[in-house]
Amino acid sequence: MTTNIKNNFTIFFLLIFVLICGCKKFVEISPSRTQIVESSVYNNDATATAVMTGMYSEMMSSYGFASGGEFSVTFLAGMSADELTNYASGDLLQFSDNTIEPGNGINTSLWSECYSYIYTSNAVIGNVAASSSLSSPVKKQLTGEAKFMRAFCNFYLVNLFGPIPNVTSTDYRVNDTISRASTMYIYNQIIADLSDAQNLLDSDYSFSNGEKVRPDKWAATALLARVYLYTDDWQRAEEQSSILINNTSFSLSTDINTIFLANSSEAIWQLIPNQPGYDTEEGLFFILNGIPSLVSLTPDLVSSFEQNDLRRMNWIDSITVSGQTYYYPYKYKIASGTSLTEYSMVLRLAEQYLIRAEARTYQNNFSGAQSDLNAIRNRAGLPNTTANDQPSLLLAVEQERQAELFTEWGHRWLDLKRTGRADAVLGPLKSPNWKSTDTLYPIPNIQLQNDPHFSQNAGY
Amino acid sequence: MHLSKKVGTIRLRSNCTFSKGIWLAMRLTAFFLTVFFLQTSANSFSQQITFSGKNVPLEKVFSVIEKQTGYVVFYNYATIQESKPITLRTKKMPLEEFLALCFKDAMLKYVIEGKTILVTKKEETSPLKVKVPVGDVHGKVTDSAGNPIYGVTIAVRGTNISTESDNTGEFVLHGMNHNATLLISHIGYESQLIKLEGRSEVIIRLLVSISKLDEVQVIAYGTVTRQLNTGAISVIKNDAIEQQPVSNPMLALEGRASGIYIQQASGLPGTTLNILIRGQNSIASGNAPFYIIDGVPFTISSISSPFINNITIPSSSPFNSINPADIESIEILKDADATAIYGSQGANGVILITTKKGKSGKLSIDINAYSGFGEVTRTMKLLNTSQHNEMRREAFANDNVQPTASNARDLILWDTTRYTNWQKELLGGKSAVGNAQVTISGGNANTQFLIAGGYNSEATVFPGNFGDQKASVHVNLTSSSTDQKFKTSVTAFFTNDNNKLMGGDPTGTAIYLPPNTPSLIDSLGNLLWPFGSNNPYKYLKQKYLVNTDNLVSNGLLSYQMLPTLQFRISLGYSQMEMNEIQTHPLSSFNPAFGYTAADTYTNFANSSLKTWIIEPQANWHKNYRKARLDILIGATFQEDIFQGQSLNATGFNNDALLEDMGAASSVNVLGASYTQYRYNAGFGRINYNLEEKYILNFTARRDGSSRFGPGKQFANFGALGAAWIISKENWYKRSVAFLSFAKLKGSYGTSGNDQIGDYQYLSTYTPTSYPYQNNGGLYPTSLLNPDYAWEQNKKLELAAEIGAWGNRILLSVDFYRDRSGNQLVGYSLAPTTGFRSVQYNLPAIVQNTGWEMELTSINIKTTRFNWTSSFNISVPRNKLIAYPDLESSGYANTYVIGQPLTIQKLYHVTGVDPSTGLYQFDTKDANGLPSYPEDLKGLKNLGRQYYGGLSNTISFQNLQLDFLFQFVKQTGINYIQGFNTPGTIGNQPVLVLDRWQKPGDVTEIQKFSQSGAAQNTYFYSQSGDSRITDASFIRLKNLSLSYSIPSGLLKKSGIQMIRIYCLAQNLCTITKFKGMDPENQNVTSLPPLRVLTTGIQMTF
Repeated sequence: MTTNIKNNFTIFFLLIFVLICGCKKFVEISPSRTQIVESSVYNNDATATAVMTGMYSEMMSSYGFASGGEFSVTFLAGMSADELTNYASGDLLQFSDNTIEPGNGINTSLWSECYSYIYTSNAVIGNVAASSSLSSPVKKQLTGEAKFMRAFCNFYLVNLFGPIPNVTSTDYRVNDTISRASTMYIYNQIIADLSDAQNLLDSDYSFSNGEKVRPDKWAATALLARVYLYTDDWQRAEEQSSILINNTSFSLSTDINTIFLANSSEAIWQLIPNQPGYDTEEGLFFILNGIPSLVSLTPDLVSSFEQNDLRRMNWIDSITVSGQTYYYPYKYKIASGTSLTEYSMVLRLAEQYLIRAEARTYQNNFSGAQSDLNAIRNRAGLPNTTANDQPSLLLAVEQERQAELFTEWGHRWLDLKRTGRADAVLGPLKSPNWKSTDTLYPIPNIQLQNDPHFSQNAGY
Repeated sequence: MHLSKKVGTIRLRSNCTFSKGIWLAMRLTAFFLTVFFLQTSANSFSQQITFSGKNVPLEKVFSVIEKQTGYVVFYNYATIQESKPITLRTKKMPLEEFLALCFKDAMLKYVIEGKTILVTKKEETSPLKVKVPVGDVHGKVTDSAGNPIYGVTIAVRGTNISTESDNTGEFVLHGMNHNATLLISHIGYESQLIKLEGRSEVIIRLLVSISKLDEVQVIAYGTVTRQLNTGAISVIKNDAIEQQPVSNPMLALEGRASGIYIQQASGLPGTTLNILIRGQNSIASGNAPFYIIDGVPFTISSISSPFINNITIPSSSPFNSINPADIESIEILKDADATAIYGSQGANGVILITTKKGKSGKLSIDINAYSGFGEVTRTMKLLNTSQHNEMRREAFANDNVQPTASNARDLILWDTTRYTNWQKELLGGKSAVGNAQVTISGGNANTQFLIAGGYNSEATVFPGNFGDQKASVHVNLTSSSTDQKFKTSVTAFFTNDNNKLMGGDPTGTAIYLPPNTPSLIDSLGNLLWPFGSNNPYKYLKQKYLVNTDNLVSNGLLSYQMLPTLQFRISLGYSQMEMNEIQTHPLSSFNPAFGYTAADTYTNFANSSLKTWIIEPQANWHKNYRKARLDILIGATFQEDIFQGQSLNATGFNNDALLEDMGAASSVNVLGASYTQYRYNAGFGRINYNLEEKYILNFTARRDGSSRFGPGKQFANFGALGAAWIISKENWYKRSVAFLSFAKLKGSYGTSGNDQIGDYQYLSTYTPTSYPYQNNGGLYPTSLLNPDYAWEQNKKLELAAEIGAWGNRILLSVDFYRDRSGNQLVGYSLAPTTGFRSVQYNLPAIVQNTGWEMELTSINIKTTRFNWTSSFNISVPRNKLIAYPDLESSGYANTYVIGQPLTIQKLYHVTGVDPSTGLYQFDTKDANGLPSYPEDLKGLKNLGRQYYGGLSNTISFQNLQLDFLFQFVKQTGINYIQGFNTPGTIGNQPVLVLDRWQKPGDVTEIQKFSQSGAAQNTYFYSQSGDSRITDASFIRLKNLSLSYSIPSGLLKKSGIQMIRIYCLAQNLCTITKFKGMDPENQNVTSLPPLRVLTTGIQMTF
């Protein structure tokens, strides 16, 4: 081999070597324009905030658990309880028949969607804490919102599915094989998150331009009052609900037809319907213009109202097709349209009165309980309650909660379960399908398949 | 003796066939040319010519010579065409003197050997550079056109001396015995033995080999002959492609090569093809082969928008925007030896497409056009009206239900005597097919060019004006410096494909509509809705328009720095742009549901994919005493950028404006995507060839891909291939006479698969579809997961090649075993993680083994009649060898360890209960209905057991017949999948008439019923093993009959060739399949079409 060749070869090999060494950089690409990498999401206030608003956007556009539509807690729990008559078949039918299979797709989405928001909340909590470039008010606000949302999702999970795992990290290796914690353990986590959120969140709605569409200190308080009620901590339940009832920025709307309007005086937290051309999914799916294909109100619910109840007259409407009358919830008046006047209600003041009435009853403050009940009853055009002892007041509260909060976020289903009245009320109505274990939905198959140690609820 | 005339015709036919004539011609030519360029001083001949004539054409002068001397004048008509006529008067002039006078002014030379005079064009050969000292031999090697060939090996027989020709084709051998014999050999050319016989200067003209064994095959970054190849490669040449009236070049491969599985999803133009080389390797990632067109990677998947509801064609095949007529050859690379140099992209095999290049010589213009029509290959035999009525009445009787207007509109409201053959009405049309190609090519020794234009149109069989139109331009320019050291080649082709399809495939509805359905369309073309929204004409009102522009361009620069060292750089750029429009006019909606103009909508999508690639390479080789060493090193830099936007426009006041976004009352963004892919590699190949008997081939690649996270981006792949040409052993030659060629080869190596999405290792957030409080939102779309890496495919290959009776029969048999591990699967996660799955390397192993055989045979070879056959068969076996924790994975109900990936786990149908008339299942529950997944007891394999093709070429004089039978042995999904319960409203195959009628009947079809339990059992049977039947078929895939007008008739016209032909595709199918077409096995999509065309080709 001549020197010439050797030289050429050396040059060539060097060239190739340089090219290949330079290439590590070549294959390190920047992320897609249509996506943002986690690290750059949390280095400025606007994109970090967009993760929280993105969660509310997803909640309202995913047709899922918080949408108010056919696969939402409002519908599903309403069917499982005695509020809604179902006309659909398949997976929805299983909810109204209380025969949900562990493979039921809607049940699976309910479970999965909540955990996707819990993941996002955990990601916000972790990344915001680690970020040095976010401003401190935004850090406080986002952490508070994320803790609130984690508590909110855990609240519905624990009520619908029973003991659930306490998911507080974003590491899939941990969360993939996490086991179920006790209900009390989860409630403690919820209470801790909500207490933190109360401290972190602002007490006005300035961060959401004055609209009540992102959770603030009062939303955390409202949910905390409910959680104390659910955990039989009557004293704290009363404390928290009193904070809201005494807060002059909230008041019971005098005209019950204005409650569900955007930013009504009674609203504590609402979600904005965000699909172009549509109002609330409650309006879209509940209001009937023919034979129902999905749901109508059960005759039992319609007949449970007292005479002259304004809520019976204003919040329920009907349609008669071929001689058959179908009743539907008419809290939201607009099926679809262009001007957005109604928002989907999540937390409102009336519930706080009812929470306090119940908490006071258990603390034997019957007159206080009565005055809270009467506040709600009088607004609905009804006379003062006649209940005057604990058993009668508790039944009166149950009745009032049904009349006031029907087809809102599954209150009726959750109430019957927590008060242990499900068997008594639903058993006769839902026979022969009803079993006591139906008060919990089954853990979806996909969870069990991926984690063999995860146990199924009894009865499935 | 009229050999002179024969030469002309042979030349014309040489593209299509070998004949005894061409063998003879070639050998003669070789011999004469050799002798001529040896410049033997002509021996004196005593032949004398007496001639007298004025302006006599040379041709006539030659016949005078033939008459007077008895010699034969051997020439090509084209070479003497430009010569001036002769005016001469001689008397008994010696032949040579006479010839010298004749050719005095002509650019012709001659040589006399024995009784033959060979006339050829005079070459302006450059004088040899150096005066030859005694003992040295100088030579020059050229091709038949006189162009120098470099790199030709010149070996001195009986010694270890050898050298090579340089860039000008010249060589020098020092200190030679001038009586030595030289062996001149080069890839793709016939080797020659030259006796020096005292000469010190030789000019050698090499002829392109026509032996199949010397056929040049394109491989990764180079070429090789079949004889010396160590890898497993199947080749399809342009002649086989051009015989087929297809607009997608991949369709031309069906049945023609072993080891490649092609399935056409639908008979619509532009439809997707499912292509697998040697089976499915990857469980969850891509299984598509890697495609390279002229060195530029070509997209493997459709860039069609995911937001366009592709009910018409699942997705538009990118290959639809390539003109088959532009293709010179398609090479299918299968084993590790052939594919490992493509590293991470080679796991699923590689398909190399080489387009046509310009050729030097006289300007040639080729015009080729055909037209014809296509029609559906097979329809289903369905019930007629009285049978349908009978079925319905029996169903109501069985159910004890009275037919009423609401549950039996077909019996009560509709005319029960009306009959429409909806298949004929909707699918019975003929789709017009037209194709025209013009190719101009020419050039000289230094520069060659080719310009081709093509047009192809293909309509549909449906009513209405739908179809695909494709126009293409293809340009190639090759140029080299005078010293041949610097070469450039530029190739580009551009295609515009305009596919206008309907909004949906009406095939499913055509089959389902009851035969007495009233008219669905009125005389003005408005839709009528007697049957709810079941009106297939609505799809014809909707449009799906796909417009694709495709540019593929490649530049190749090479510089021969030293005779043994060449630098090359290949540059490629491709760009595909697709625009899609899908309309939903008001006229296609059933007005009964109260639709208004506000409900009309159109989806618009634009997508583009841009790829650039740069590949610098160096080739070095050295000849040793008995061996040759070739080394290649190179690097690849590649980037793909994909961008897509999809918009939804709603509320058009007028159906006529649906394609105009401006006429919409609102426009929403459905989605936008942007992905970048970067790829970088260093690669090399070492080829060692000892005495052309023992060959070792080592290839390696180090790959980096942006699809993997930091630290996982680079990986190494490599393979070792070896071949032993047994027939070159001395002992062999003596022992097995009739086996003229025998070779054993094998290879082992690894290649990878990176066909996963981009960016999946990053934890990313994506904008939400809708804003919240007018602020855009973000949501997490993937988990941080930097740990996954390449899938790896370990390929083993053992093969034998045999040639018999002078290689008239060539047989190759391959055995392969590919094991694909480190499988990239979406590892299914518990929902508590917030995600459904994460990309994950699972130590699952998928094995593909198989036998492949390819056989070509020259059955009859005479001057007038030739018959050649080729046959191929592939016997693939697929098996899931390992999958840790399969039972708890998302594939628990899909796969079984030890079984192929093509299995289906189904309910086991045990037949029809003779007492109830309902399907029975093998179930765990007593209620008789199967439950999922416990009762998935029927295991069926849908893979192909074997498949292949038999093609024949028969030529008789100017007539040539080619035909190809494709055969497939497989099981498939039958009609049950696509129909409703027999007895409900809707048509059924006549097969259902063998149903259960009364207790005690033993049948395979359950009773007719229109509601209740029977619907349930039918529903389960659709997930039962009764839906699987034999779907084997033999198909006369392609038939081509052509006639070339004898060249004698064309001599004066200036036309070199006229060929008239008929082409047919999917002519007939023999099958017992219980369904529509055994290939696509789907009664809701249009089966592949039978296409019949006639055409003409002319070359000037």
